Amino acid sequence: MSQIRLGWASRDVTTDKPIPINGQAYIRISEGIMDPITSTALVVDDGNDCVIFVSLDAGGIRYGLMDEIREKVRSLHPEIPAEKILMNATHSHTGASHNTLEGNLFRASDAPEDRVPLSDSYEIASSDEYRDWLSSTIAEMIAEAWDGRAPGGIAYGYGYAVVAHSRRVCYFDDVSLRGGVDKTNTFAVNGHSVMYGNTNDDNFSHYEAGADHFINLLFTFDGENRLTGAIVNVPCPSQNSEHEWRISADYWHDVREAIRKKYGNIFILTQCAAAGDLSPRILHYKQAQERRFRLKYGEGDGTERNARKDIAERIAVAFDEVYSWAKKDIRTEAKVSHRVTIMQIHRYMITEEDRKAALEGLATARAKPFVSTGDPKADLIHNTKLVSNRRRFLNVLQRYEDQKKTDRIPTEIHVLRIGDIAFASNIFELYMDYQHRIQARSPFEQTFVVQLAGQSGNNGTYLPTERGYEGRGYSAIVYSMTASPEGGQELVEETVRQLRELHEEN
Amino acid sequence: MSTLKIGWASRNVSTDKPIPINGQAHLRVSEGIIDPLTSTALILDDGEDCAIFVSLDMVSIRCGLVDEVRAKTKALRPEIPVEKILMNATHAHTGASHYTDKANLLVGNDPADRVPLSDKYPIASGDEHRAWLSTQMAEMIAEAWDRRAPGGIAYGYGYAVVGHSRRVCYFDDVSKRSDADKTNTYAVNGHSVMYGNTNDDNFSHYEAGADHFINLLYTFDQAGNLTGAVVNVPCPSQNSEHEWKLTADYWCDTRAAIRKTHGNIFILPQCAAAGDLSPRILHYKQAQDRRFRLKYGAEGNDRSTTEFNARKDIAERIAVAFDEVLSWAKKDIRTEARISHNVSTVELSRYMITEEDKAAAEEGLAISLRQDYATTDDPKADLIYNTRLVSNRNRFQSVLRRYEEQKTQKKLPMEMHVIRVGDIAFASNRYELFMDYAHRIQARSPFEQTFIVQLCGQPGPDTMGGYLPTQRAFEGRGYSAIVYSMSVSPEGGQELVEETVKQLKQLRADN
Repeated sequence: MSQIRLGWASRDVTTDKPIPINGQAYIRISEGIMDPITSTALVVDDGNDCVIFVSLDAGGIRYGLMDEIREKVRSLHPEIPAEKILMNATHSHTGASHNTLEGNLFRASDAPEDRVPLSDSYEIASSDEYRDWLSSTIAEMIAEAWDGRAPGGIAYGYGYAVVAHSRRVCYFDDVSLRGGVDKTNTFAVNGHSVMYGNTNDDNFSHYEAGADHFINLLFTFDGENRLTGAIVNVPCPSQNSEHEWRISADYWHDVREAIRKKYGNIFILTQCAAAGDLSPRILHYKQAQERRFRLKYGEGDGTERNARKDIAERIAVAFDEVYSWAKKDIRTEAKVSHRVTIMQIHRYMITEEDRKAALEGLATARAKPFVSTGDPKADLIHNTKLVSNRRRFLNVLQRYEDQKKTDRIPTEIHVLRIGDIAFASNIFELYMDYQHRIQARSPFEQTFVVQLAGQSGNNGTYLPTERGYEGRGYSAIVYSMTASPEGGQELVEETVRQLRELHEEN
Repeated sequence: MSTLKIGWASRNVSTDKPIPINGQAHLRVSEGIIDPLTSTALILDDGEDCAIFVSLDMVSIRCGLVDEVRAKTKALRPEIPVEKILMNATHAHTGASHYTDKANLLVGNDPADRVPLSDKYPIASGDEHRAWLSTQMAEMIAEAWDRRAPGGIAYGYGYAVVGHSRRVCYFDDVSKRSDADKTNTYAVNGHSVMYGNTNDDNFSHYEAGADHFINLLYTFDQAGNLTGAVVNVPCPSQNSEHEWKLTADYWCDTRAAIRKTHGNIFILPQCAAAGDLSPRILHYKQAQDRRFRLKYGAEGNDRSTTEFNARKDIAERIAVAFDEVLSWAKKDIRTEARISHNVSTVELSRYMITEEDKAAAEEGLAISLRQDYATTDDPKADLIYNTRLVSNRNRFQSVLRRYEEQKTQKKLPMEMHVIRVGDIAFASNRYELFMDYAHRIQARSPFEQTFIVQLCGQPGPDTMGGYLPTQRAFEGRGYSAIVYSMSVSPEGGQELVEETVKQLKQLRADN
């Protein structure tokens, strides 16, 4: 083992342009900045191998962003092993879009009838241009972190912070059979489970899997043992503010502020662990929560802004608590061993029934016209929602064709060791149970699971478990998932296998 | 509404005698006191109705303790509405036994029902302890009643990670594995195993997760000074469950942590629905060992040390939540609150013993009856062996008895308390209730907060309570969701939910 070298850098990647915002079933256009969005890089290098962690306040890492970044990094610094960039999205639903036009629902396909009419009076900035700028900015950031590598130390630990809650609500009955159900909604194809279901229901049975309130922390120090930054890994997507029409890093902004209030302007690299079935909001006790926020924060800020502050307080408390004892064990030497693999995991196979429903749905969706009412914002919502719907059906039909050639889909995974701890990434919104399987079987003291990591092309969709799939509901239906639960377990097995091999290396 | 009157009292209910300790499959006998056991009483009285909350550091409340306490309280103070005493156990597996000596297998007409005892190994009487305990508790309640004085309450909820799922689920039916123990009435597993090993290639998931909400009710005197709190947490206090000494378990550490900041206030602990939860993690154990080593400086990761550190850790998190909630809840102190306290008996559908259960119990009993008591030179080892033997036998006999009873009685009665205190409510049950049931009640309750209180004592002759698992748990099997663990079915659990919600709605609708 040799001395660890650490390099940090970060960039404000906010834009004040009217950029598209992804994350809802329709496109929003930024009307300003609530708080800045950030990208952060941490290089950990033991002289033989390295990892380049990058985090981005965004919903996902898509439409070739990862490829652009890697290419630009190679141009700037050919010696940087760009494949070792492990980049994750926090799943903030208020990031600035780096999607293509198609990705932004301005068109469902190349067919003229699938293009959303846009109004000259409603300015929309180019997300293609933003992606170009973003990838350059992130590449420069990575180069800066690389150049800034200096001897230092790491410390680590885990604690507890209640951030996420289950968002999969299960009922005694199949809710799709209730009267008044919208059978055309591709987001609410429910069964016994409903995402964000109403729990004040006589047939409410249980939350599908509960939540995970562990928080994993990796602290970094300079040569004089001064805290320089931390990786904060939490099983919860940052989407409290998901309906806002302004740019925001969501609860991570509040977390950064809370931690920096005490520790100064240290780097904070934010990772979301497996949280496909989790969200930062409660689904019962809402009266109690409203009262809690009213008394604690006063009137005015709204539930989700208060929820963000509340979450930030708990993460900051856990940060302090873990730091208080973890700093007793600062390691200046740690073996770094980093494997990057493109796995092929089993697809969810589109059934004939799925295909038929998609054909029917597409025909119905295509029959609905775009609107042009004179209110460009309302039109945009309506029209991009329509395109989103059409695209979901087209996507199913495309996958039906693709699966004739292969029953697998590629997924890049990173499995890496830093001394006695490990990191294991995946491209999906991974259901929590998969993480528990990995962590329980991992030989490392702590295993940081990182979801929504970027890969060539697009990151993944939801990856539900078998019990999620049986319950149906958004995130566990054909429109939400590309890999099957069988594929999810393949991901677990390969990750565990690699973790064991890494642990045995000297 | 009239001004609230609030009265507190508590008692140290430890004993230094070699008292039996209940909570394991065999009897333990106390070898001393790690920390004191407490009973605490809080009376809330709005002048028209009242609630008499009583908590006891004990695994469960049995063998007529509730009747004795009520009778003695009545004798001391006839004006006290003793049916309004709601008494919960914290589920500490290191309490001093108040069970009958018969229930503790120490006396009995039939030699098969009592274990051989050695003069060299004295064991104090649970009957005597109960007589003393019930007097202590009655005097405590009378004291709280006499001390009722105008005051205020405040309340809120926060978050504290205390309980974790203890139901581990596998892809396979583990009972079919080659090394499965088919004779163990505690480990009748299926796809689920209580405290199962998660470092297993077939580990799938934790059955239901956990609940990290904490509900708090604070009390204040007329000068606005904090006098006490009800601390309601969905987690049984059983970190130290294998100790052979008396301890209040993590509630001791919690009381100390809270009192360090707030002085010697009263603390009434309640365990919310937590039949499927425990205060220990089932993965990340290496990480926890390291955490405790660095944080507490402890050498060794033997079970006892680990659990003592876990208790401190839990106490710290509860104390942090206590402070956090108090910081804003105290802005809304109420000196008036309507109290409405329903005490009713609800009939819940039994788990119906099947022919297969009966046959297995008969077979098990026959094998068990052929096993002899051990009488070696080691009376402690003998006690463990022999009480385990009789406990096993009793479990089979209980199944056969229930099989007969169910021919005429399809339901089992349970005393239930549903209490309104202003805009919040309390709802009790006697079981180790699985967490999902609490969520069903809380989600449908019209009150701002609904404190669920499990393991509440019952009047009348001792009957089996046990765990109350959900349907998904029952399908998974495993200790706590099998015939030997449960008296009421998941259907009965939902009847409990429906009746509780019905009463909550009625109480809310009252003006």
